[in-house]
Amino acid sequence: MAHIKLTVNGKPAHAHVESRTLLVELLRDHLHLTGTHVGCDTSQCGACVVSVDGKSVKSCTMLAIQAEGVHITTIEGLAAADGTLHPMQEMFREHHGLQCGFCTPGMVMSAIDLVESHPEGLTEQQIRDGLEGNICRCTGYHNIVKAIAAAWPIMHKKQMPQAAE
Amino acid sequence: MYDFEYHKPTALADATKALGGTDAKALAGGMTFIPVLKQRLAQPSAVVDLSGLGLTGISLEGNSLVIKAMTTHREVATSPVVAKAIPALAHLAGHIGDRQVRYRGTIGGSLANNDPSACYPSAVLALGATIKTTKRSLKADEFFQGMFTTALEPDELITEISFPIPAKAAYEKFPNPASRYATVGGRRRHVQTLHPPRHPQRHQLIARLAGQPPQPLIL
Amino acid sequence: MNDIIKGGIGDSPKRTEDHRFLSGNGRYTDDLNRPNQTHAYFKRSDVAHGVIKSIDTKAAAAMDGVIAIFTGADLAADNIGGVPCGWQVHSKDGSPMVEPPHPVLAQGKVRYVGDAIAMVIAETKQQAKDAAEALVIDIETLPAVSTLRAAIAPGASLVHDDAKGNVCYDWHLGDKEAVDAAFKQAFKVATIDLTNNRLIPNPMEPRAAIGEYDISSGEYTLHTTSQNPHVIRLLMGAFVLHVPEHKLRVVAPDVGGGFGAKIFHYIEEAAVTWAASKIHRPVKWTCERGEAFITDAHGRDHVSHAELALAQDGKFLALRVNTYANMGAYLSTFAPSVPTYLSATLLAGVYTTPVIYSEVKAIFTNTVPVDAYRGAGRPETTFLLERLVDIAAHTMGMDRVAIRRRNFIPIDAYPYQTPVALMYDSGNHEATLARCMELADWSGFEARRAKAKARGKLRGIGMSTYLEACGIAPSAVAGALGARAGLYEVANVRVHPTGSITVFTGTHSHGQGHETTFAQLVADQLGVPFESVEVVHGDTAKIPFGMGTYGSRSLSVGGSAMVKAMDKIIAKGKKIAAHLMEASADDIEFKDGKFTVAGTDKSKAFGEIAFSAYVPHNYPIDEVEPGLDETAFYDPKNFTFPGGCHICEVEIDPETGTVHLENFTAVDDIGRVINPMIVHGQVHGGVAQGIGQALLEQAVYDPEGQLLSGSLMDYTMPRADNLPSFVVGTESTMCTHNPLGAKGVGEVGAIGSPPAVINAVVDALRDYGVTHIDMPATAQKIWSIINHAAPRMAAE
Repeated sequence: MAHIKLTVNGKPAHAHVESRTLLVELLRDHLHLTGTHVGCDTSQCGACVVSVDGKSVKSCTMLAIQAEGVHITTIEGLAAADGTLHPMQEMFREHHGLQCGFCTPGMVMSAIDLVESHPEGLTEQQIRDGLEGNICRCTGYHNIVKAIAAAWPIMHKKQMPQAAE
Repeated sequence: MYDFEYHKPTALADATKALGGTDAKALAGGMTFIPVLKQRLAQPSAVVDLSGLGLTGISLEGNSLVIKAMTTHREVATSPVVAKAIPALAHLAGHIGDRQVRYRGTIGGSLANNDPSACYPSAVLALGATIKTTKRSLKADEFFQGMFTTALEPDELITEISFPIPAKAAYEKFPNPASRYATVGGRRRHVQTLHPPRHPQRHQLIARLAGQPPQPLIL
Repeated sequence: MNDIIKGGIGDSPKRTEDHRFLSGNGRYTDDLNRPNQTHAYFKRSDVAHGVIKSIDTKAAAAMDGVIAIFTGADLAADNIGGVPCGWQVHSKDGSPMVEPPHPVLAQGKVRYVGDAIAMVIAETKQQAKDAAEALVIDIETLPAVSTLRAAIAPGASLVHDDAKGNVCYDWHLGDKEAVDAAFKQAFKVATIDLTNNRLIPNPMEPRAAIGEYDISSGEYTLHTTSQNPHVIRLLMGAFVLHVPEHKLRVVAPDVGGGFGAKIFHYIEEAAVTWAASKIHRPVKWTCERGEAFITDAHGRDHVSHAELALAQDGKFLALRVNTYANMGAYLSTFAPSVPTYLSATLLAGVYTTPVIYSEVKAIFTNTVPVDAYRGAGRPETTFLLERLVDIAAHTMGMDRVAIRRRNFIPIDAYPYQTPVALMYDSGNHEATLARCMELADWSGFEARRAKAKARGKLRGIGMSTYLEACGIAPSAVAGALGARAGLYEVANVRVHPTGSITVFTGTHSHGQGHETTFAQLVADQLGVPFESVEVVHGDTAKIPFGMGTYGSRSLSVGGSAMVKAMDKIIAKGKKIAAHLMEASADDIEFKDGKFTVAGTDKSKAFGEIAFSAYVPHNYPIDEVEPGLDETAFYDPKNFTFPGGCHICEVEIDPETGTVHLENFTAVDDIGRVINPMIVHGQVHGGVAQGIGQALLEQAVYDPEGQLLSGSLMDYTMPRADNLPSFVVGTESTMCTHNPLGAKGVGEVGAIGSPPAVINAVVDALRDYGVTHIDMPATAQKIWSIINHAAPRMAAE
């Protein structure tokens, strides 16, 4: 058992974990943050994506013990304390970018990273390519792509450049 | 996953020492290794995390591009140095796995694993790169010994990879639709024109390899 | 119905459920943890067929954290039954299908890779898994049959000794003699041999179950990932555990997608519930994805031969179909109905084919049980029919659109009695076709093809004009066809004293957005704000007995039950209003949330009536009971028949064989639309699954019965970069026999799309002499076609 300390959604957190404990298990089982989901066992589906020091990471493919000292944001950490949603969450709602909601937390975390990484703008094809690590079985992605495109101008506080490629 | 002892050394000597123990395994980005552990396909007694060794960075040394072993795919893909020296390598790294894999997966980990359907091994072979380890320097041809097999000894670690800068290079892969790993990958170097409108070589390559097990291949 | 009001029918309010799903506050089964909980892990067979010689649990039982290990013998000793099949099909000769027992844990034999042998319960999941590896199980391997062809081969190994030739049933429908006679008159005959590929549903949430037992009350509780908690309670209580309903509660909380795979009663549900009563602690099981691949019921897997007799003018004279359907190793809950009553009954499609004959043999194999997957039977029939129609056009030298139009059931022929039992109530196939062709710019296609050719690409376009049947009904008919359940639905509309409303429905939402759609329906009908209606589903302790959600039935059947319950609310409200306004109840009108005395300006708001009902001071107490809380059960008079037209346009890279989807257009006739945003989302998702079937997905077994496509690394799920944005429209005719006019939308996308995609691929490859490609049309398949068939000369 190792004792690890980290920051989760802006608050200090700590836990005693086995070496084999995965980051997603730390979040779900030890810290009771069950918004991060496990949809597969081969690191394909992306339901478990969280932000680790600002980068989107599949929390099923990182050991909890490797998270010593890092800053993690999970889906629970996006909305304001009064429940006001992050622009990406709000656009998913506005454009019906979710149905059963199971892939949604990972999808939203990946989408935020995608938009933040592309201040120059995103084409539909870039959005689709950027979601390679997230599988949704409900929506056919149509409205997810729309939601992400709609979140870009809000997150960057400017119009999406027309000729972004 | 079976349990194991976890070590995160901060000096190379400590890392190689830890790896010298029975059934110890090195953990680089973990993008293949952790799934293998999860499937209970490996049962190491100890796992040595290499992320504390400072083995990251990209630099130009003479006519070579040198990438340290723990440099992530994302870092290679977005590096202006790589983009200028070997743009095809940046392109390759930018299309390994998905965004999340590219943030954590490393060049050293990919080479040490030597999955024939991974992208980096074919680049290292085709570009004639040299692999530096804690013990020696190995030419690509000496390093790769077969599917998932390399010349690395149990307590030997890759420290950096040195790519001679080619006149031109290109990389194409035909990904498996499910795993997105390359079923066919081909890299070209020293060609006069980059990306001709049609890709006769690619066509031939795919024609030859359809239905055969994937292998890196120099054109 | 009225004009669209805010939050009412036809509006698209944002979904009520979204805030919790978007903020991580959803509560799926695996998110729940019970005090003093234990963890179960199932040891499963890694061979497809074998005799269990011995199970040694000693070493495993001694391992850290292990609480109990149960095997089939323990369940048998406790008189635990097998999981039942919910639909009985009879063979041609009148004999009932062969229905072998499906034990919760294997008894004597294992019959597929994934068959559960033992359940290990430990303090942690890892400990249970560690101990399961220490079980010593001796299995004598028997020869396995892993495909339909292997199972029907002479001398094939038998999955069940009493199913001779591995045949479960040999069923037929239609008039064979009339069909044979019609074929003798045929000008030409179009034929097809096809395989409808085996699919793995893969809802993103893996299955999970938590069993609990309260020794003081004798009550069992099961939390499970189900589309129909009451069905699970009935099947598990009555047939497996022998626990009466009032001592068994089944809760299906937030469920992360179902697509059919979560309809069925699975052995793990019974095992954890039973085990909880043995160890007196809650028992939790969460499926891993790799485990889901070998335990969730698979879909499709039919092999068919079909022939269509054609007259000289292109009219369809007769259709003959012979199908083999893979049942897997055991009969899953609704498996027998899929290739028969959910499939063969749709063989008329949208066409006037006067006589049809279908034969279906259901076959056992050493594979995971096969059952309903989005569309269930209807995608199989639609694919067969719409491919055959394209082949017929080719055979006759006719245009693909013209041959469809020539054979459409005309709008004035409705209601239309088909030769395969169903009576269609409404539809307008010309309208959906015309609208879809317009949206897809069908007439501009040849120019796009020429441009693609100039770029070295092969472009093709294809369509399907389809019709499906939803909301299996009425119960009496379903019963006559073999269903062992009623197929009505229930709604309880509970108006609270201050006028807010809770609706309890027997349907279950696992992505469909019922909490929004049903609230709109109630808000619209009762004239109350959308926000003041709450929808409750998924807990047998809260909701009345209902049948759940599958077969696109929730709105057409469940919504109709809600309308009936609201009719009762309004009727009672009129009596109360009449008393308060000193008028006759016959003179009271209800509109826009107000009870008004006809022809006067005297009115009472809905909330006032609700308050009076609960505070009955001035109240017609001799005539009317207090309270405003009504329940209705609705048993439909007929199926509903959604239909439509899907058009797909593809471009093939001849160098690699890769199919690129350029455009996909769907125009569906789904009857009344409550929330267009949600309806379009349902079509998008269905189409994506249909495209997945057509181009990407396939479950593959090796001859020994090992599932080769057993992970997301090997089984291709559609990802964002595989799909285009879709163009979706609706062109509705109303269902004539339910109060809403609703037909259902959940499955149309998955039913209409696969033939449209394959018709487009075949069209793109027309110069290579291709008339059919089995799904999935992978790059490898197409590359082989291109490289092994010389293109035909243009003049040919």
